[in-house]
Amino acid sequence: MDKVLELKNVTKDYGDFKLDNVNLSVTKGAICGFIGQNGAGKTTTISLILDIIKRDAGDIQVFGEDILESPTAIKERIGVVFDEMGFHDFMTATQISKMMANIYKNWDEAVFFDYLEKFSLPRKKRCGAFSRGMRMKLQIAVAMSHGAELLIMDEPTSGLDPIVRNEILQIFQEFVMEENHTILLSSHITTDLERIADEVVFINKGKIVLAGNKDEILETHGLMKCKKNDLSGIDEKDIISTRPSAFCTEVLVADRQACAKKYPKVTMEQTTLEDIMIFYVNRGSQVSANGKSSDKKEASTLED
Amino acid sequence: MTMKGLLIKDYYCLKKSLKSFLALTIGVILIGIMFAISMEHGNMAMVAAETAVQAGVDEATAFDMFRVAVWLVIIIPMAFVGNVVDCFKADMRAEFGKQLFSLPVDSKQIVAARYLTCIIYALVSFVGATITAICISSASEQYPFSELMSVVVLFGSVMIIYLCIVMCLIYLIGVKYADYIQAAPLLIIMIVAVVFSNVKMMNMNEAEMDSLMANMWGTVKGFMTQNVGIFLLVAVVILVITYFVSVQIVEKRRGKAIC
Repeated sequence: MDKVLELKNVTKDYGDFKLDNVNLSVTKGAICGFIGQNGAGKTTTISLILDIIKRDAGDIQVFGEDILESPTAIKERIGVVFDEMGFHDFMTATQISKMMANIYKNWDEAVFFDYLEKFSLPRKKRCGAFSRGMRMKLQIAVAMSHGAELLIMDEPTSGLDPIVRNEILQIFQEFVMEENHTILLSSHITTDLERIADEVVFINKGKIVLAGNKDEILETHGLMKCKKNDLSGIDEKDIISTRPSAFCTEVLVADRQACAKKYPKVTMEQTTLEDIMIFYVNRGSQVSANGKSSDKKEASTLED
Repeated sequence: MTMKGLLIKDYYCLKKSLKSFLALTIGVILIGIMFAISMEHGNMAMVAAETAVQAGVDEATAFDMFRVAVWLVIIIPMAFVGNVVDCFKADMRAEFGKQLFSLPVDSKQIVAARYLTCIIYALVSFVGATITAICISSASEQYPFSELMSVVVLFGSVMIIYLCIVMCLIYLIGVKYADYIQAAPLLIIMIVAVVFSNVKMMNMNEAEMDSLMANMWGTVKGFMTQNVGIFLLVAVVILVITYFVSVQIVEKRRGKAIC
């Protein structure tokens, strides 16, 4: 399958935080959810992809080309949405359109105004007076009005009410209906990604811990509910991490079907992306607490 | 083409101050004309004559010293060039840095657009100052147009030099320190001028001091009118040098250069 975006061994070291040998790829035509808790490295990764910050090592290919070789040509094909609007408060949508029309070669004012109408955004009101939802919709309108083939979005639904989030997610789904359209969407709202993502990538403390097809990940991972006595009978190799609760210990396993056969007496449930994220994050804490380096565990990658 | 979008953005940033500039220039023209007429026929002429007697200088020198007031009035429109720094502050407040670097523009275009804004704004200020000079020189024969334009070009060149250095330092150190960066060169010049003049005057006797005061105006006037070309040339050179330095800084610092 064609890869629109590929990161190979990308590293960025800030001293107190390091993005460490990140390998990530996004298939053409897919919605890829980029999940991680706050401070995991999602924004840093996106900033590196867009060349907003310089990488220390590694290779980033967008549309098959290194972003450093022809950054302006590649950025013409990328639409970007950040968690904060980034436009001046005193500018109106019309003024932003005038600015963008003289920056993007393929800026389509008619499409932009269509989106404004669709999103019920005023043309001549200063965007400083917009609500958070309106600011996000404005960014999305801008990102989708210059013929972009790849949308890169950094927590676009964060802080939005469920109705606006639903609206925006529908727009994303409509966007990828076109064959050559792809989305990379970072979020810590896993329910959004469960709804629309085709692929997911988990990042924790600057490292990719899990990547692959979303449905496969949900299908293969499972949550075992063990009593304390049962826990000792479970092979450590099957355990990703554990979480004690009031009545039992929850155990995340990477191969639900195999573990269901291996431990028939233990209750096995389907899990959610949120649980998977929490358990993988806890895995690092639990391993560190045991005095072992959390770096020793390799990232699990499921093939498509 | 991409630079044009950034110029449009800077225009929106400065739109409000352009309106203030227009109002101020009209005010400056009126004040300048009134002062010029007063120096020729009115109260200011009497004040100048009294000052000549008190200071022990001839009337012509006393009148010349008062002309400086018109020079100060005429350079006010040129000071508006400094407002270009507001573009940096507006970008910082909007957190425009990330948006900017996600656009299909490179470091050269980003810096070139800002420098072009500076040049365009300088030209607009220059037009305002020139109109002021025309009005004042038309109102009074004491203020030849060529003399006033020398002052405008000299001060404009100094402003361009100052602004280019400030912009380069803003890219290097960060926009949040812009106020300190703007004040620093002025402070340094003031300190150097005060220290230099005190040292020089401490080594003079009374006769030398009297001679300096009597000839000071002539010295200053001569310096300003004879070295305009040099200041303009220096301004162009500094502009080019700081442009290339700024491009290197922005290329290295990327999004941080706009914050």
